[in-house]
Amino acid sequence: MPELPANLPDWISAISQLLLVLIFVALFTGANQRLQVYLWSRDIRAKLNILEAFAGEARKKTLEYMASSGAKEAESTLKRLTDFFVISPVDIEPVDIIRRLEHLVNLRQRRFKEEVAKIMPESDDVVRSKAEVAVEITSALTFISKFVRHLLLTGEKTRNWILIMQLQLLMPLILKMADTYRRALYDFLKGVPIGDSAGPMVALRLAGVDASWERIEEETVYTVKRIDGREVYIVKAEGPGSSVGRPGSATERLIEKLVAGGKKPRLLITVDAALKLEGEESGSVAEGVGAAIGDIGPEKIRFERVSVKYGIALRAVAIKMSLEEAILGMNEKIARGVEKAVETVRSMISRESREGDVVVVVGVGNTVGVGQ
Amino acid sequence: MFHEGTPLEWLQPLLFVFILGLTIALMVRQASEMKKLEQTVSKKREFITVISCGDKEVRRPFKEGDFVGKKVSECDGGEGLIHYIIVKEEKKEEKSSKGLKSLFKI
Repeated sequence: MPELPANLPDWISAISQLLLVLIFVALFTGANQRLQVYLWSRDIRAKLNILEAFAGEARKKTLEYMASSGAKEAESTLKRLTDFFVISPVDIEPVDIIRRLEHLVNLRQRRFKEEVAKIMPESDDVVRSKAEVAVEITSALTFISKFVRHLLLTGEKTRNWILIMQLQLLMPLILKMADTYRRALYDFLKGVPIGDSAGPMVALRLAGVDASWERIEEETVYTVKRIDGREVYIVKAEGPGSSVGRPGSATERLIEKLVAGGKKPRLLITVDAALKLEGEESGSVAEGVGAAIGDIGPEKIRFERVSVKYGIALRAVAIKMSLEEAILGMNEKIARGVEKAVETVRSMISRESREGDVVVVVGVGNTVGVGQ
Repeated sequence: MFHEGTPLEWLQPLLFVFILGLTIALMVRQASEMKKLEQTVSKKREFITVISCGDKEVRRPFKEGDFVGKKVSECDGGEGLIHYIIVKEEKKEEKSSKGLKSLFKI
């Protein structure tokens, strides 16, 4: 019979050798992988609990806001809207896909508006628009937690360790994104401008204090201002409620109207918040060509079509920021970026048009907290 | 690992303790990260309203109903305009994860 080790170093040596043997056995039987998958799953589950807490908190906060604004049957409406979905149009037949997509997007938006208006009949448009955004954020957070849970359970059920590993690696990013949405909810309900409001804020600065705004499209307004001898038409979403308006349709309608009156614009400038690359300075301003708008298609294509139709130079001004800065309350860097963008637009107008020309400037983005 | 009588025999207990310590440290770190994330839930941010009074600028805490472009009578004896509403900057500790530290960052 082998002699038992007597002192501590001998014990440690024995345990190390045993561990080594166990590690080899685990390597051959795949038990090490199972242990690793267990650890990954445990980590995902812990983070999933936080995601579910975020979704629950958003639901509670939205219901509180609706109740404080006199909403009736808010709970059942919120549940219905949280699970609301849109089926994307058929894309193997691209003919009129933009029109079909626009129709579906507008239908969804109208549905949300009507549902919120039905339960909050006595509230004004600003309060209702905040409630709509709160519902959207609750819906997004609920979807994120549901989808992460789906991936985790699928991975566990099918013993797909690659899926679990990928999910575990993505979890910090998903958590960060969800946390940004959660914080954005508070900022939207407060009614403060967010980073994405930079575009409408540039439009407001250009128009000045005493501009008289006129509605041209649903939740979209415009005004005229003389800048350096040019007739500048300025378009933005109607604030200070939370809305992005219909900048594409409004611009198209405005330009058609101007052309019909013999005033063909020389320049069309779009100003919007743009996602910066890591390492780029927040609030920095860049110029380019094309339509600066983060839309899925229907609004953006209108800018392109109308500028091509009448041969108008389509220029873009982007105010750089991170995704987090774009949907959270505006910070000082972005506010300084707004001033820089105003100067850039002014210099673009004087550089690229002549006195007496007609120019259209569109401040694209969510106009929450920015009036006119 | 290092057999008896080899020159590195003394390293064995140290290695064992180091691996054990590292495992515990990583577990504690992961737990504290989760706690930190949960704590951010209750953290709320403050906003400042910047009012333009001609050449002067007045800053005050954000009030419900403020919006950019709103006329307010909060300038000395006159009307002003809400120029900005911005987040009150929080003082952050500069954290750098370099060298070994970055290895343990989750």
